[in-house]
Amino acid sequence: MSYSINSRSKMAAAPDEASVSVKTEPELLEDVKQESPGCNEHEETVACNGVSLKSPSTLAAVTSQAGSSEAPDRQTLLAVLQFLKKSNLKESADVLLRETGIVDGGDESPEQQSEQDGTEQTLLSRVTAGNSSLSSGGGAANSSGSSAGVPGKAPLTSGPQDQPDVSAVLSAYTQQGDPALYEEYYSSLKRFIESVLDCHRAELSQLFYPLFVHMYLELVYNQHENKAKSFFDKFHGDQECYYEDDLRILASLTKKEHMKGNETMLDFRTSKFVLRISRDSYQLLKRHLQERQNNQIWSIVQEHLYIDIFDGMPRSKQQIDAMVGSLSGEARREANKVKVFFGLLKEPEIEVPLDDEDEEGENEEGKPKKKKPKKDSIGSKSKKQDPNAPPQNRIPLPELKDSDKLDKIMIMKESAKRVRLGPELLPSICFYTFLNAYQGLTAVDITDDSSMIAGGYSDSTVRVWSLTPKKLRSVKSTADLNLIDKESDDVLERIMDERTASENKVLFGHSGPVYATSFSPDRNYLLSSSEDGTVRLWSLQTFTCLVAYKGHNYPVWDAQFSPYGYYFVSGGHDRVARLWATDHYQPLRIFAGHLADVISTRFHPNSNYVATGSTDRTVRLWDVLNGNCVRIFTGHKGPIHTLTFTPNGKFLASGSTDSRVLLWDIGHGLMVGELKGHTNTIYALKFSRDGEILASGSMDNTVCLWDAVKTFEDLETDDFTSATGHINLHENCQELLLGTYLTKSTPVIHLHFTRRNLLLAAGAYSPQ
Amino acid sequence: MGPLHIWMKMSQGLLCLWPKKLQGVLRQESTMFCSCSIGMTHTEDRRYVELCQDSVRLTAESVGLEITDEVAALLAEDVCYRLREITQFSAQSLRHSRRRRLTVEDFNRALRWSNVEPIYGHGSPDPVLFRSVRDGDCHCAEDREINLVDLALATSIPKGTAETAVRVHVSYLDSKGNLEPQGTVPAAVSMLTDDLLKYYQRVTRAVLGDDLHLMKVALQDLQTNSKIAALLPYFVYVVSGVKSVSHDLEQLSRLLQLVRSLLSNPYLYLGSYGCSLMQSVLYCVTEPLAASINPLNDHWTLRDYGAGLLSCIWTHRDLEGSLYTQVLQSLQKVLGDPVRPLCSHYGAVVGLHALGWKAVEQVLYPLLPTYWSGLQTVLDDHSMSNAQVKADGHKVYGAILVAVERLLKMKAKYCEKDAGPSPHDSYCTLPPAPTVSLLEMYNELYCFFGDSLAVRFGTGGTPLQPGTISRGQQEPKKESSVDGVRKMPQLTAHGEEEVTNSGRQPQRPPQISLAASSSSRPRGASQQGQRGQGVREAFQRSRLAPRGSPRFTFLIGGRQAGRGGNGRRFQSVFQLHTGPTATPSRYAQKLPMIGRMTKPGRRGSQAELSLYLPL
Repeated sequence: MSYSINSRSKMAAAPDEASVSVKTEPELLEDVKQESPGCNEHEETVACNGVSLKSPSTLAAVTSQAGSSEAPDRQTLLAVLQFLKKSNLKESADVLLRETGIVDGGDESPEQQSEQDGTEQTLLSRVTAGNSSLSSGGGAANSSGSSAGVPGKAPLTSGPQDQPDVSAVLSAYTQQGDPALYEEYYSSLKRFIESVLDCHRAELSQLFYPLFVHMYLELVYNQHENKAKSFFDKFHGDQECYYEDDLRILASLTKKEHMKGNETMLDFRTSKFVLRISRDSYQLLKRHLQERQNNQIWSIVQEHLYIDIFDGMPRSKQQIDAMVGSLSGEARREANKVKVFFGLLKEPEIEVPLDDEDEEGENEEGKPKKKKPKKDSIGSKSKKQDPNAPPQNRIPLPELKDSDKLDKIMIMKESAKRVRLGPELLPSICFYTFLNAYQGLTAVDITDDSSMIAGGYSDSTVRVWSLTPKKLRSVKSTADLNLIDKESDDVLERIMDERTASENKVLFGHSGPVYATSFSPDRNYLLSSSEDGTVRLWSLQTFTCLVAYKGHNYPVWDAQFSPYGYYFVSGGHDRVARLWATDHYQPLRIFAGHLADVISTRFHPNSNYVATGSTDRTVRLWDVLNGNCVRIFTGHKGPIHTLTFTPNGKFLASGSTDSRVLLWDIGHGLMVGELKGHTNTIYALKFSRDGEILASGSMDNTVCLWDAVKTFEDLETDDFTSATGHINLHENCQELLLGTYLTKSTPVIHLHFTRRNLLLAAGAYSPQ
Repeated sequence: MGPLHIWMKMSQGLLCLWPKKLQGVLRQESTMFCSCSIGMTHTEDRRYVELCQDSVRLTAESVGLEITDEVAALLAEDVCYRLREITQFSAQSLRHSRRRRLTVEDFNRALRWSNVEPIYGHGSPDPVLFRSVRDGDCHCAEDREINLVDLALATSIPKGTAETAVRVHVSYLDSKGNLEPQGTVPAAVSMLTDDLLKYYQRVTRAVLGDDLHLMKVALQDLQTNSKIAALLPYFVYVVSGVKSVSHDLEQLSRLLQLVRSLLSNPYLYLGSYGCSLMQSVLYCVTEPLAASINPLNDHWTLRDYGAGLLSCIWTHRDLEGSLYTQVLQSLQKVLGDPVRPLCSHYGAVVGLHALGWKAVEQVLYPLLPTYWSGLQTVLDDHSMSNAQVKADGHKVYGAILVAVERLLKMKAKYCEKDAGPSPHDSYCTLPPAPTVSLLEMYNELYCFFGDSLAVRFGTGGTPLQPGTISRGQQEPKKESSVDGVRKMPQLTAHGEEEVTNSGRQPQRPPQISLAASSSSRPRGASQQGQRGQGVREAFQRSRLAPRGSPRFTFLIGGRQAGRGGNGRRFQSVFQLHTGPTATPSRYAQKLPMIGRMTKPGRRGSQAELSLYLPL
């Protein structure tokens, strides 16, 4: 297969040791991909038609997108079918159809089928749109690794603008109803919903927003502009306040021509809005609409909404409000049913050299008893296999080097001295202020051992500071390196050039604001992602750029290293998150499915999963192994700017512009907590090393500490809750707030717990 | 040509034409995008920018396009939509930059993403000012003209932006720390951590206590300690207690020394506390303190010290001169209030002096004519009951004299600079305007002070740091005038006993006639080849200057001189035009006989100390 060659060829500049240690990796991942039976066939069909999907990533996109909802192969087939139809290759399509035996609407309800069509069309539009840019990018990278495409220059709106399938999507609106009656339809439904029993009213009220949007868009599309305006003016006040951002975009859209370029509305059209309604309420609605012969609304419900019907008690208003708010409604229940291996991987057995001095030192202090059990607990944790953990070799991980083992030993030693935090013993907080950051500080990261801090700036620079008295030094030049005695014991010290020692280093290379920085766990590399569409890998030995990973082509909002190194994930304006390996210039996986920009990414502690937060107000969890979306969390009312996992991997915390932190149970796929207390966007979240305390940092110049133990303790995840997904949140999250700490008019944009549980916070001083 | 295409072409012009509107929208949108919880309270028309078709047509004409109404209307609508779209993109850029304020940069970035050329020329972090154009309902950005010459020759060179750095600023130990909101003076001291509380108590006790050595150590530590930021409000609070100890000069001066220590501590950020400190100091300088009732108390020194502090405060790095006008106004108020006692006026004068010669020119000089009459009456009253007040009056007189002397000197220096590096040559070509006003000022001041001003007025070849020159040279030329009796500095240089009112009048005409021939002056000066001659004539009635000598050197300082060399010597080499219209002053008749009045005794020595201000 053509793409396997591409992805296997290695970048010359890629770091050597990493590539050596994980060389089995690409094969394995590709094998997995080949398992899907339809794959070969696609290749052939597509190739014989003279159109080749050049990049492997497009296929990955296909699989991943499909996997998010249905069985991957089937979805892929449908996508290919659609593509063939579009290219007027009806015969091939028929052949394919016959061979695979897919009958339209066989075992599925028509509404589901049409939903799939919708998905395919978006998907295809993505694939075709992405294909051109990707192939040009790939080509450039192949030839010289120079500039791929023109990042940041392509117009945002041009992507889907002139594609036939978009107008096909929009043409679903051509059905003519009497525009004058729209208001009447809507208000009659409103009257009906207001008249039903209280228990049903809350559920049925969910219909208002999607119906409102679709009816408005229909009016606009059919060029009843004045009608559309009056319709909007009349009913926009009824919508929930958390849809205000979308309504604002909607209000500015008053012409048919505008709809073509507007991505938000395109998403609204192409993805079905998901509502979760109890069977009783649904029957009530159905009966009403059929009795009244309210065909306009009924057809919208059938075509553009996906109603997830469940048996049992209708949900309360609070329960609904907690879960809705995303661009596409709630997550379907079946989307969160896949098993997730959220346990931690077994730590490799490292023979800790018994350093007697340390032991004796402890003994002298007279606390030998305390020391022992602590050590045991750490030891047992790593020895016992977690039942929820993925198989050790589920995804290939780099082998440990000697230096990594030394580091592990250091971590274990440090963790023995760790402060046990709790509501009574809160961490000390130390705030690193970036002074004179006139360039605009946009991103901060601190190494795991808290020895270095990196800042990304709006002026395209990345600056690295040493937080210890040890200065930053580069390695000597090649000529000088030849002179040193390689056999000497202190060779690692000798290779460093003392003349370059300084407190901070500036890394130049990006051509746009740097939106994220991330240190590799071994502190040898630094990642930075920028508006210029690239992710760059910097060496912290030479303080030079090693690789520029091109592929996003649009601003890359976030990038983060895997906790085991080697892999990293990035997410950007192109609405996908990409998984990369440091020695591959093309992504290994593309996680596609978000309906808007991916603005935050985070690796699960076991490195098998990636969580992404998006402007579409959902959090998704992706499986690194097969690229599937395994969890969709809805409930945030604004873009999600930060994510963090608990150290045990069971829970996920997300912070958003809605000033709230939401906590999610990964295993059950449920929301388990809501932390309210901030007054502005939350940009930083971090759990303490043992997971007792959650620290959150916000634009409102405060750091808040939350009692994580208590939050997760009183969870009653009975079978009913996990089956229905209905949640009851604590009313008083103020009990969980342990403290609020003010900075000196400095927004908090990064938080970090040192290995001994000292909390470090960072931000740039910004006078009002 | 599709509408979008036209729009791209026109966007530049459009955006420039309605920046006011646009900015309003940007602000609105950004706030709306940043906060998600606000309700639908905005009225519909205020939420979005609306461009009328006339505007579009105008813009089109300005780029040379003729468009019909229909096209204009369509375009206007489309441009509105694009603007909104771009605003939404820029809000996204804002969020990712972790900022609160939407900048021009964000908007430009959104334009670039949309493949539209960005708008050049705006990039300041400060908000852009808009003003309306008088004819037409149009707003445009304030575009001040900057005089590059002034900028290039400015003496205050702005420092480059400091280096970006990471510093630990706020620390909460075990999550405990000073949670006091900034900018308020706390009610109780008990809210600090134990260590800080102890430090605070020790230091305040030491500063206000009896042990001089301890006090010095405490003040020294206050100047250098980097960890007392949390205590700043408490110290400010302590200092604000000046009002309660106005009877105790010793305590007052200690508090002022505390202020000086706080001011010189580089780790403290004064911020809003600067104002509070300034008010406390101002209280010491200008209020009629309880301590000043007793003439034995040397409250003058305190006022002088306070005045020095005032200048420290307004030039302090944290305050950036923001308090200057405030101080100036309060001093003006004090000086303009005839009801206040003379010691208050004295404080105001030394305060103005400390603020710099410009402050003196701005406030004291215009007030002088009115103030003079009041002072005159005090000084002319020879009754015994008035002795104390009169003594105070002399203090004020001396202070004013020192202030105006500095004013004249600085003014003269300014003129010299203005004249360029070769003053002789430039005389003939450009008689600079400030010279005239200087002369007028001198004339007017001379009417008040007479020769006492003239002899003190020395600049020219001497650099304006008298301390450096005066120390080494101890050769007073007019020792005869400096005898033990004359102790008031303003009197010391007065050697000629025969200076009288009547004696001055007839002497004026020849001098004026000499000065009036301004056109022939330069030639005459060059003919003579003696700068000194020409220069000396600027001092219209300074009969003290030895005729033949090119330089005039004298000493000020009664006892200082006697002690051996601590006096100041001034050299009166000063190039100056004598204006053609040296009108006889209307104050001429009022000239006091100050030169002859000598006040022997204790007070004189104090005065000399207190007036010994650096010029």
